[in-house]
Amino acid sequence: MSALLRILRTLRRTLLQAVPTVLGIIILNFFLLQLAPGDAADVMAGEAGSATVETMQALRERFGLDNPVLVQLANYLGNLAQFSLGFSPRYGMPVTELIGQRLPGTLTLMAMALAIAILIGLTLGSLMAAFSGRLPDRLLSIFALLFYSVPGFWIGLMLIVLFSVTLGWLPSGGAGTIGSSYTGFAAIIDKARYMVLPATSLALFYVAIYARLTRAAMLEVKNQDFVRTAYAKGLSPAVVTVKHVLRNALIPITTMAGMHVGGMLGGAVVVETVYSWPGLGRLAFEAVMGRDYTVLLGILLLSSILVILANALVDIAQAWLDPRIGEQK
Amino acid sequence: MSPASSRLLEVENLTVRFGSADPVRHLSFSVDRGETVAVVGESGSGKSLSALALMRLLPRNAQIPNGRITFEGTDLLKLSDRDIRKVRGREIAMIFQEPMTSLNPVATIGNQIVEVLRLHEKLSKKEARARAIELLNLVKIPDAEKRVDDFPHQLSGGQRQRVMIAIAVACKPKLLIADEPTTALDATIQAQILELLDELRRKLSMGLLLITHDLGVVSRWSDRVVVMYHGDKLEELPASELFSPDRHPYTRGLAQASIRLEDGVHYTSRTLSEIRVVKDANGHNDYQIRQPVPRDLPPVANDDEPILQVDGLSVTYRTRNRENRALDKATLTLAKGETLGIVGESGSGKSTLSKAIMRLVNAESGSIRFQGQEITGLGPNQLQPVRRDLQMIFQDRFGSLNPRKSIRDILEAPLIVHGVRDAAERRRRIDETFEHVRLPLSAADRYPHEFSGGQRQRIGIARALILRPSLVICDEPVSALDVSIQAQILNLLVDLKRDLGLSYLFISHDLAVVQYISDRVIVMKDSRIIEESDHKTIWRQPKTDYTRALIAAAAGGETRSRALAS
Repeated sequence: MSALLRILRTLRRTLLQAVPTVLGIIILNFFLLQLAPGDAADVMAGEAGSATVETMQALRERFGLDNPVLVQLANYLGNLAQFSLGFSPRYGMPVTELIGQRLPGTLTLMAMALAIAILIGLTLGSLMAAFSGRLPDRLLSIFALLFYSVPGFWIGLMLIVLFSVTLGWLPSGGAGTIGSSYTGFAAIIDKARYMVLPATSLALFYVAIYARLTRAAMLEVKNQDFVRTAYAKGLSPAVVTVKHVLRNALIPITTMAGMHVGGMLGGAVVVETVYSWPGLGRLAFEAVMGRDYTVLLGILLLSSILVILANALVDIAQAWLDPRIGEQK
Repeated sequence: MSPASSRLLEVENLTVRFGSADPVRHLSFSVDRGETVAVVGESGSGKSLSALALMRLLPRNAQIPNGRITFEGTDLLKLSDRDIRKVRGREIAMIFQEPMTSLNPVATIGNQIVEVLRLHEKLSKKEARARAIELLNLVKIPDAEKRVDDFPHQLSGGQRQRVMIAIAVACKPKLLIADEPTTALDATIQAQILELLDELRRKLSMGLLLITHDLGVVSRWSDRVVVMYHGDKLEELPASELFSPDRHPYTRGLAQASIRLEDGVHYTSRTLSEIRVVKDANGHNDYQIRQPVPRDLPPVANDDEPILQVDGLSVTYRTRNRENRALDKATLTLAKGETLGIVGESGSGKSTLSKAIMRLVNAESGSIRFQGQEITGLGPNQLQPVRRDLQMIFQDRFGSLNPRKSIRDILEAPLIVHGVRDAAERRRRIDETFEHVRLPLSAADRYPHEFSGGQRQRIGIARALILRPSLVICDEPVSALDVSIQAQILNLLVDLKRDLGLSYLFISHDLAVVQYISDRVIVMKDSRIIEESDHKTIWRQPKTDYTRALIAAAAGGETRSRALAS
């Protein structure tokens, strides 16, 4: 059976499962948020300093907050059916637009961090497996343990202290030079300079995870019979590692990478705050503080779709890596 | 005679060392061009390590403190890593025991053959692929043009071993090392693979080094035999003399302990010889052969009601979109004190039959009467007392004992479940059972990993017998054991049958073992019972072609010795 067919079959199954999952997530999130005390009108009134009962009432009426909970849910679902995420009372603009502004920032940050984590993690893990039990392995294990146990915000702060304050090589926060008129390649370089530190501090924890995971997976595969077959063919250790060991070891690693996309969204909140990066994480945090549930629901919905998409990608990657997955049983 | 003319490989004084242990000591032997040399030994004899040492494929913590491996005039042990890689796969190739795991699961079989061709023969991708298809044809994979893009999991075990052979002979090596090439395969496939190896050896005039524990295979397919025990080479002899009486005592013991179909030995006529290896005062091994005295068995009581009566039993496994009839209308009876052998290849339904009788899987239709009681419809609570009389011995000597429980815990559990509340009584029964299976009483407080394979099988038997069952189902009880251990366990089963009045349902793929232990034999194929006969008739006058093919495969390779004789 062709690889393409297998991948398509895997994809179809994933998508069919995604629809009820997303619906369940929306409804569950909606009720969970209803449990929190206060609403957007309370916060807005509180921030304004004073408000009459009538003003509050008017605010609530305007945003539909005075309707019974089930009606609010029905309204929200109705909006979704028209591909609208609703209107934010706090920011005074459609949620879709609001998220649209912040999404690219977070996505690039996450993609960058994940790429760094997998690339460095795989390299270090392969090195550790190749030198298992010897000095390089021991040293790298210590580093992995360190990055694994130190919290991300602390690493973030220390990176700022070192690279921005002391050395002055990289900017300490923001997403681009304000007021700059860079175009083309220069603009990309400028962006990248701002992204290096946040992406690195987000990635380091995952570097540690992937390094250890790769090490374990490769050591396990190395003991398998087919690796002995490969050596018996006369292949060199480098070729055996890359062509026979690594590809088999990648299968458990991709599974973990997919599961980490959700975790990274959570980590992004902290990193975006430390580096004042204008992303979804910070928007979510502000929405919680402002009891802006429409925005929050939108972000949660989007995150869950992101996670599902990431898992679909992992499924496809696995169907491509492992011929035994996606076979018609 | 110049050495280059006929001598291919010369191993002199080879020692393999792990830390302070030497699992191979001062091994010397040679292989000539086009010759088949067999290295025979039981587990722990060092035969596989010696084979790996020839290719310099030993694990990293192994050393070779002394010895020489001369292959076509070069000492392989002195070659650089880069130069030995030019020998591997091109001059010397190797196939392994486990065809299921010896191929990379994520690469197509074609690419795995192409890889070795491109490495050593510098062929283009297209040429290599064409050669790969040729090679698949050579090893008789049907539809090679299509199968070349298959992945290993799409092939059966026998086909995978063929692919391994294709990889091994791709560069026309001068020496092929086959490490237990057929141990994991069914009897009919086994014969085909050995026949293929022999044919290729002649076609490509390779030397063949056959590593095996199976004396039957050795005597049929090799020219010379090296016998090893615990790292020492005991003797070297022509294969034709393997079963002659004036051999080394250990070789003789192995020969007597191994059962061959053509000898027609039956448990009622004689016991199997057991080998004892004792260290004498100088620390040398002393090999003794002991043949237990056969004792009289009570005749099978045919007039009584049968202990087990199975009628039209069918089992179907269902998955979402497929159903698989694993057992189709099986009918059999088993008299008290009788041993019923069940033979069949993998997938024939013999394990399903045993599980259905144990009520571990539910029957779709049919009936099982055990000791006069219909047990098909019984619920879990009603089955409990029945299970005490109906026990099972499993094949897997590692997997079927819980590694975190002591032997005493393992044996006590069934007693507690079946309501033996008195601790002293439980102790007494455990001691008694230990005596029956000939385990030392001190074994009770140790853990499964502290025992050898044969001892673990004794523990498995003890667990089955502790409840004093009347019927024991033995599912491949000796197929994972060495020949000498197999003989001990089979003798033990015969003794227990007499002493405890047991009946056996004995399942095995090994025809010779079934022939030895059974009173009657059933042959299964494709979920059906296709033949049933008493233990003499079935081997002499098989009714179906399939049984004839099975017998031919088991005794089969004789064709070669006959061909050589004529």
